[in-house]
Amino acid sequence: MNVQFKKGVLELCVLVLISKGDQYGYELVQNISERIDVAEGTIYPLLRRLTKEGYFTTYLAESSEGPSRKYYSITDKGKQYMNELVGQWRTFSKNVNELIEEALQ
Amino acid sequence: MTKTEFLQTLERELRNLTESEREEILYDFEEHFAVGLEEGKEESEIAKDLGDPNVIAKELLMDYRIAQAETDKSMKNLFRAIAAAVSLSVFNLIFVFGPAFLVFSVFFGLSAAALVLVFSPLLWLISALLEPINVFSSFFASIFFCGVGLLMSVGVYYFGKFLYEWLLKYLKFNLRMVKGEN
Repeated sequence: MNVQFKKGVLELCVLVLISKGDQYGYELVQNISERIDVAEGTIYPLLRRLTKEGYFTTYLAESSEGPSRKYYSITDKGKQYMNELVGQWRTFSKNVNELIEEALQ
Repeated sequence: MTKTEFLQTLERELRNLTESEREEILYDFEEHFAVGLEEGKEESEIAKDLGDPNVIAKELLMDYRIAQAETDKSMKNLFRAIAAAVSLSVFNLIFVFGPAFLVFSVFFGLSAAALVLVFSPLLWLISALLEPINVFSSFFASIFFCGVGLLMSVGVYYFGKFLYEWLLKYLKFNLRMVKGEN
């Protein structure tokens, strides 16, 4: 899928992944690019923006191997926003799927 | 592209950001490279997966400009935010420049109309000197128009504020949805 509006969904993916547990940038980027074809670097501006909006907080943690890592953690505000987006996505994808099924029957 | 090339391009393209912002951003990418190298990847491979640093910089710049226009409300900052959005993609030339141009045209049209109305007594004076017919009735009419103009100016002022906020909101929405390109 390579549409302009894929980016909007990326935000949802980032929120959902971090809500499952704190992650550092590289880890998160890998988890996303496993499933979605995306220029990995564009996830960092997204993380920055969501952090500025107060949906994430960050902290540095030492790693047993190599440099310390910046972890992202979801806030209550972020969870609320995520639930909103998940709801919107479910309705949207359900409607699109129904439409496709009906048309291709 | 090597790590150094990638980071240098990013740094150069982000020269308009504050130093602390730029350093924070560069740090994130340095960390990304460091972890990737540890996992046994090549620098060039990591850089390729990250994508074009010019595109990443454009997105970060647009984000920065929007934040600036939000905290320091001025025409200059709004224009800068719009310019950053337009340079993000060809798509935005139509979907940002178009609506913005329309909004500005309407706003300046209304401002000009209000201004002319406010100065109608002056127009009355000129016409009374040139051609002194019906001087009194046209005098009262010009005072009336001046009043209407003053009321309209107040309206245009608040309408302008509303448009400013609306444009910023639209730019934020745009940044969330529209992919950057080179």
